[in-house]
Amino acid sequence: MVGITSYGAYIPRMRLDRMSIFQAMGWFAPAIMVVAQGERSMCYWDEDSLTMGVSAAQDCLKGMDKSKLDGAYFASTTFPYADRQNAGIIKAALNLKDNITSADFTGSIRAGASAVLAGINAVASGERSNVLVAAADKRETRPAYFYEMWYGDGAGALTLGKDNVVAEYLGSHTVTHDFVDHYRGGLNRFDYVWEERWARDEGYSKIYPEAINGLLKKLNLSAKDVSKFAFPCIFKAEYKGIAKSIGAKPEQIVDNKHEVCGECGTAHSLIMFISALEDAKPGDIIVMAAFGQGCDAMAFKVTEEILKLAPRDGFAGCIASKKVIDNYNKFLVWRQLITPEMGIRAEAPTQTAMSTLWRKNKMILGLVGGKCTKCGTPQFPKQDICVNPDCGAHQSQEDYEFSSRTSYIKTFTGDLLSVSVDPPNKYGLIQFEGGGRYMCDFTDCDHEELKVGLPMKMMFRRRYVDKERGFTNYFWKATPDRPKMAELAKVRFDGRVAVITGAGGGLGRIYALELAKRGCKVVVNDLGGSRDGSGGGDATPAQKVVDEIKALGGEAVANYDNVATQQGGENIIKTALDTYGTVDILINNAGILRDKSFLKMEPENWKAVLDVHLNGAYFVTKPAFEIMREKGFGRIIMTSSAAGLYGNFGQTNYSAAKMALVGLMNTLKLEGNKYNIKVNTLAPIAASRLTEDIMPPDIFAKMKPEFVSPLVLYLASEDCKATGHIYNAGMGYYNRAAFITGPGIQLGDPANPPSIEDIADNWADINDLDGGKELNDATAALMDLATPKVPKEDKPKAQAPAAGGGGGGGASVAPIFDAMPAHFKPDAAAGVDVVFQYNISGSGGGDWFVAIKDSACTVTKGQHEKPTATLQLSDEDCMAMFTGKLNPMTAFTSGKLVIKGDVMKTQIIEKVFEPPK
Amino acid sequence: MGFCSKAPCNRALFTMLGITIFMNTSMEEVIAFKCCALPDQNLEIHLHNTGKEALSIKSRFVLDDGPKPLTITAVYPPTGIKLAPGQTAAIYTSMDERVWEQYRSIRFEEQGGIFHSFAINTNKG
Amino acid sequence: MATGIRDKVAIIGMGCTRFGERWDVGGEELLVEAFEEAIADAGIEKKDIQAAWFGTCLEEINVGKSGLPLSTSLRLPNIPVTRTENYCATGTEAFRGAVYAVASGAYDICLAQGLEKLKDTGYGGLPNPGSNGGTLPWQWWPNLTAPGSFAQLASAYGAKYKRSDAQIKDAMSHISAKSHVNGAKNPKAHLRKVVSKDQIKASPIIAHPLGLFDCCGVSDGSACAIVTTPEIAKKLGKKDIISVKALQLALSSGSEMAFDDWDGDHFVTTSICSKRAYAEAGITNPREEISMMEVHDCFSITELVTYEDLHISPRGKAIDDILSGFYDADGGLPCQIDGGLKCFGHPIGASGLRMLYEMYLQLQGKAGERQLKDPKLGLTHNLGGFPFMNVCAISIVGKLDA
Repeated sequence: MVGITSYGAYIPRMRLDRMSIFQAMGWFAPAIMVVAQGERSMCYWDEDSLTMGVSAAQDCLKGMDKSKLDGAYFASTTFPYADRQNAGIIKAALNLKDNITSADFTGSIRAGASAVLAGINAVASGERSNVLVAAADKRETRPAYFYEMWYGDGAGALTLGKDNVVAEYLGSHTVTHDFVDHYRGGLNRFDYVWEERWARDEGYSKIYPEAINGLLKKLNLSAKDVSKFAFPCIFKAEYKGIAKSIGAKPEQIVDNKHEVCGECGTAHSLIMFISALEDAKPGDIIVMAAFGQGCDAMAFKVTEEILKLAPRDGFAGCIASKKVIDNYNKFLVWRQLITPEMGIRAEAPTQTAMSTLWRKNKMILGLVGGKCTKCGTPQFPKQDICVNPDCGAHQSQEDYEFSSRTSYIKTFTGDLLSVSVDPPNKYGLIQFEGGGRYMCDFTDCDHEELKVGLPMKMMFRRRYVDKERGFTNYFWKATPDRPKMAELAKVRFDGRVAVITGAGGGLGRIYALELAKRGCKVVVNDLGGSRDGSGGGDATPAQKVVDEIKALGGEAVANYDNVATQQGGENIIKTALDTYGTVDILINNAGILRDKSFLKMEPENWKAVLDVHLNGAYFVTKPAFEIMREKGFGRIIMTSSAAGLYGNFGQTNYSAAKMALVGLMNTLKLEGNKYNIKVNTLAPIAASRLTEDIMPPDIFAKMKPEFVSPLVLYLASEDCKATGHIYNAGMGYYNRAAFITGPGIQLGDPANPPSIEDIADNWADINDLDGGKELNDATAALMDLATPKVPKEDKPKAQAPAAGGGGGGGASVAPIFDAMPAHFKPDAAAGVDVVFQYNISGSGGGDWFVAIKDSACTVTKGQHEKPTATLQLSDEDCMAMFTGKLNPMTAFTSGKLVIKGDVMKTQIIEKVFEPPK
Repeated sequence: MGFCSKAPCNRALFTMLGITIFMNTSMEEVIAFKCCALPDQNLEIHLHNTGKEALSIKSRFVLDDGPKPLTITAVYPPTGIKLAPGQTAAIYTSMDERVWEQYRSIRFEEQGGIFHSFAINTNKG
Repeated sequence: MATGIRDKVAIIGMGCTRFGERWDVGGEELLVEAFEEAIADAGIEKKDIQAAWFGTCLEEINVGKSGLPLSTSLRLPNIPVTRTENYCATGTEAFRGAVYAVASGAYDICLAQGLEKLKDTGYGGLPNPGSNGGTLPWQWWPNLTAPGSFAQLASAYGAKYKRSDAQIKDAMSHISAKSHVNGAKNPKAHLRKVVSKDQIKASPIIAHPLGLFDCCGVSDGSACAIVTTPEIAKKLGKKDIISVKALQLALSSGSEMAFDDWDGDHFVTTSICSKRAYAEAGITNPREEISMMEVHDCFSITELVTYEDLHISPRGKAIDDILSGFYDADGGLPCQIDGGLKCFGHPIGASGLRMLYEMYLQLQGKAGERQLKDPKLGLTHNLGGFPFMNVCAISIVGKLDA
């Protein structure tokens, strides 16, 4: 079987919004509006057909053994060299073996397809076994016409062979006609195009069907046997007619990608074909055809092997990675369609010594360095003497490729001084994974993205163009590895150690698995007992989970101790210390049920539940807390329950234990705060051994622990700053539960306690939670209870929780208003005639109006009947704003400052008063 | 504190900017020498972000309270000034001192349209 | 067994032109200007000079190759003249040639002269060598500039010692402000206006995070020294003879940019070179024993890390010393008393000798407004290249009888 063994694509990341072209040139050529949808791909200033071809080939070779390639074909109508084999440069860039057939294919936009057929023929004949075919184009267009809009820049690549074929070659049919819809003479820069209507009528609509129907007939197929037809045509409307002529339905026609990248010349047939291949199933037949002085049409049948291909960007991946710009002038400058003054500093000698380039061909084009066989140091460049100061061996290095290795930024800068067409010029020192580094140009990135430690990947790019001599030289530059950045941005637990009690099944098991998947080392504790705690001493559940983790490539160790004893708790933590040296995260998850209505609740059932849930948490948390305090980091999660928070019939023991854990958390959070130990509580709703036959099976199925674990893992992460919080989680629903304490009232006075009747009369107010708040600790709660209360009508809405305890009511703001006239600037108030009413709420508040007229300012207590504008604030906020602690914008946008009336006039305040100190 | 100057924006937005003026600055010689195409930049103005929000100030200003409002756009650096909270950056321009002294107010504008006015030449009559 | 250079060579005369945009003169005239001052200072005749070392770095944009520009401009009578070059350390390299020639006993009196005429290019700043920078480097070196390369020291230093951008900016601004204050007192300096620390901090960025005042500009100038043995100096009637205590060079092996060790935050060469210089001069506590220094302040960040590479500020603590004024003119160890590269100027080939010129004047009490009280030992640090690949040259001079 001969066919395609792999595929790859490259579409430049930069995309030009077509509307920006219209906006710039629509005044001159309004008709271009009709094609101004979406974006066209555009080469970065240092990209061309050759660099794109290399990138597409790299994508294609992912997971392949490139040393097996014995043929390399490169197709383009925009080669950088008319005479210097371009395919040979690709061979050098990919560091392919010397004994390889290489050839350039050019002359028409079907050259890419022709190269594929040539490759197929070479393999089928037995002359070659593995051929790489790359096609790329970066076509030049004059501004303000359709082609600038229709064309894009891009590349595609395929490998052809006999082994592990993913799409079997079924056959081809070619027609050759000297039909000149457009041409570009050897010395010209731009295509010359003939009438589009004629090109469609006499060209596309006749020649495509001729070739494709010829193919179908040869293969004894009809259009309905084919899943997809991939053939480029810039006239989108023509597809309908061509489809009809080949007997295909619209759904079978692959989209020509106009909206997302545009037509990429001779690469486009491959690109469209690859986009179909990515979504194809084994058994699908895909036809690829390319128009250009005739037409090459060929068919492939997808095989099962396609499911085994290593991941690659392909067309979909490249399209998704994009940066859209609307700076049309950038397009024009980068393509030399306008030539700005570069200044004298840019005049630098640019001669390239061919003899040096040949001696260092692998280094410059292939980014091949060395690895010392004596000390093992990878290094770039490879020199006669090893770079390691402690080694210094002579001629001891073997070739070592860097081009596909990940690197990280060690130092960098954005240089506004260097001559650049995309300032600032970015470069820095990159350090390769595995060793080796060099000072490197960065490309295709913004200065704001760069930081030390950013993962980078290497790209083959233009280094300079020697215009005088017509020589382009290439080298490798670094660009941010965005998929890897996304990977690394995930919440990770690398280097962290977690202990999870009761992790043999249910919630605990999922916590353990998920943490391990993200790099955490896990101690899986489980006694192995049944739901009521009986039986047990069964090692299997914990060990099974450990085995599962290890199979995923993670690290875990089992522990079988009972949480409910001091020795047990210490042993569990000791396992963590002995195995991994520390503890960072503790999830107290172990628990049992002994449900009985209260009267039937025997002492041993009451005690057993409290022992496991509450005392177990104490026995395990205590030794863990000591370690966390020492290291200044800890994340502790208690498992509570709705039963504890709200109550549940028949579960007094369980409810008491689960609520007691909240009590433990409330104080532990205070004791742990200054050591960055965060303690939170989870009330999960999930299916587990605990709830197995309590819930109906169909609801049980929806209550997967996987819906609870994301929140728990977040609480366990370094990023999570919450502490002392309770969360309900389950089935995809998440909320926070908290205690709200009502404002309360004061009754009686120091000499006279209130009577029972007083209490009864004021019962509603005592119970009122309106305006209640969260309180951080007991002291804060006492203070809050004992501070004077605000009269009911003026109460502000419920506040966000006060972080460090906070009493109510603020200090009086009257001094601020008394002092206002002293800060008034009469010179700045010429012609001003306004009255601003301030209504300050809170016990320290009041009403004042500030009148400014005839360059004088008066402040009067009370309410003005017709103020220009009214400003409302609480006393605390007013104090904070006037002392510069509260930013007025924040106050306004958060609703703390409310302005009514002529808002615009309040701008005078800034002019006529001195700013806050 | 700055306010929104755009008509449809009917709420006040508050950001904090401060300025310091250096007329006939000693920086003129150095800028002319080190940035060779920029001679005569004798007026230096420091823009301070005294608030808690990042600021983006346009490279231009308007002189007010004088003969007639004067807009200066030939300001270096020309790409606008971005200021993190607490940060200060300088702009430079060429300004005839006699013209400058005729004005009593200067106004800077943020990218979003919010403007900030300051008194200048307060020691002159 | 080699015994080093300490006290084997004396400086009997020095000259230095005004540095700046010298439209009025070419390199040929600058050489004569500095030389005339030196020969008068030495009190000898031109014919007494037996050999000369001429340092110029970018000869292709100023006087051209070989030692001939010096011998023909000064009309030296068919004596040996050697051209030396080692990037920005060229000046000290020329000095080294003359000093070793005298110390070897091959010659009695020698001349070392540095020159650079940078303002005939038609633009400000250093030229881009392009393919003239070497056939291989041209094909793979990044499109870097000096500011961009040195700027990277700042991010690396900040990351290693947990110093914020603001702290580093503050220290760099202090460094520049101090140099401007010093330069204002120097009639030969290129930039002579005092600029405040706030103005420096607010100035535009050249290469993140270096601003306009963190980078030196280009200047024209020449400086020279006449050296001989201490015995001959005494015979010539010199009192308070200034001698060379140490003269060391260290060059990168290429490990900074290709081996995995270096963190990008300091100069490997300076750390090693300074230790050798202290050993040669018999200095055990440089912070205490050195009275004054001129370091290579092409960029403020260079000066900052150099304080640590010279083992004067402890690692990670340079910022504290800087902000406490330790390196100011009235501080514990005044640095850049003549204004440094930033304010005096940086005609590449002349800089190393200009640094020595200030040390020489200070030791003789002839530094006018800038005079420090009773200096004993002066150190010059002259660096060429980039943080990741460079030449470090250090000299220490002092009174012969100290």
